[in-house]
Amino acid sequence: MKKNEELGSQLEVSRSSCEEESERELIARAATDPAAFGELYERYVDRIYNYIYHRVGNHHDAEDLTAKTFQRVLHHIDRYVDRGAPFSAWLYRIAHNLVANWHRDRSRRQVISLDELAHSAYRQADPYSQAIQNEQIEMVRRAIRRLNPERQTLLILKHSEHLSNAEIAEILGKSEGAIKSLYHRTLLTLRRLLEEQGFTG
Amino acid sequence: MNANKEIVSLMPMLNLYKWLNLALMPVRPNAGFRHRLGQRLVAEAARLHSAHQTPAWLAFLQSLLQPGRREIVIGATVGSLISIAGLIALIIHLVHGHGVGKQPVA
Repeated sequence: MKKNEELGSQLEVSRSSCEEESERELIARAATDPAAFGELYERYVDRIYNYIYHRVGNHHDAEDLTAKTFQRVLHHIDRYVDRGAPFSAWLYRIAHNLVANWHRDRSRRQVISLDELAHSAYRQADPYSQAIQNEQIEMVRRAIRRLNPERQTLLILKHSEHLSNAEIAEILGKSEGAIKSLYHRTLLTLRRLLEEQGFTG
Repeated sequence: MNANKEIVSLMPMLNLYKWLNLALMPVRPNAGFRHRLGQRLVAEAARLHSAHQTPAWLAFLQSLLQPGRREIVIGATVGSLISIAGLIALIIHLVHGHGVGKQPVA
């Protein structure tokens, strides 16, 4: 039984190192091979779009910034250096910088479209309850956007991408312990912000 | 009793965790936008690649400077220069030593 477990974990390690190797090869090829770049795009576009959407709050700007992110990646991928952090860390950093510029350049306008209000985890039986829940979800989103960018990124990676603390630590360049501590402090801050808004959820 | 108190004190956090999952539900891009952007990027990558392609002669020179080949090229260059220097020295010796072009002594 123990031998099987050892074999199993060895297989997992070798599979994951094979995946890492193939990703490294793909990144190296992407600098000169358009098809390889296309494959990288397919792997990461959903995650980057999701991250940007939750940072800016509307689809129009999320599309615009996602396009800019990947254009920047395309123009700089030949200069990308593997320093041990995942490739996604570099993508998130580019997206983060573009979102920061977006916040700086535009005045804070709340764009609340009907399709965003309709976006909900589950449908309530009656429209009244649905509307209440949507409003509360929007309150939570507004509170999240009042946090500093690092905390916003942490929450998105944890609750939207469902990454582990270890994976988030790699992306943010921190230790796992620091991420746990930051997460705990972020929840406390968020709870305070929501209480100030009169959140009753 | 203490365990119950702990659970009660954690309730707001657990509740917040649930709301965070709701508020941060994954949002995917519109399929049309995703496809169009992908095509545009691949076309742009192809354009960039053809603009940056090195001419054949430069690519050949670059290949000579690859590790492994570099030492051979340097050795061959130094050897050639020594041979050329030797040849020049021989010519100079022949020109001045045998007095080529000098008038014979009367």
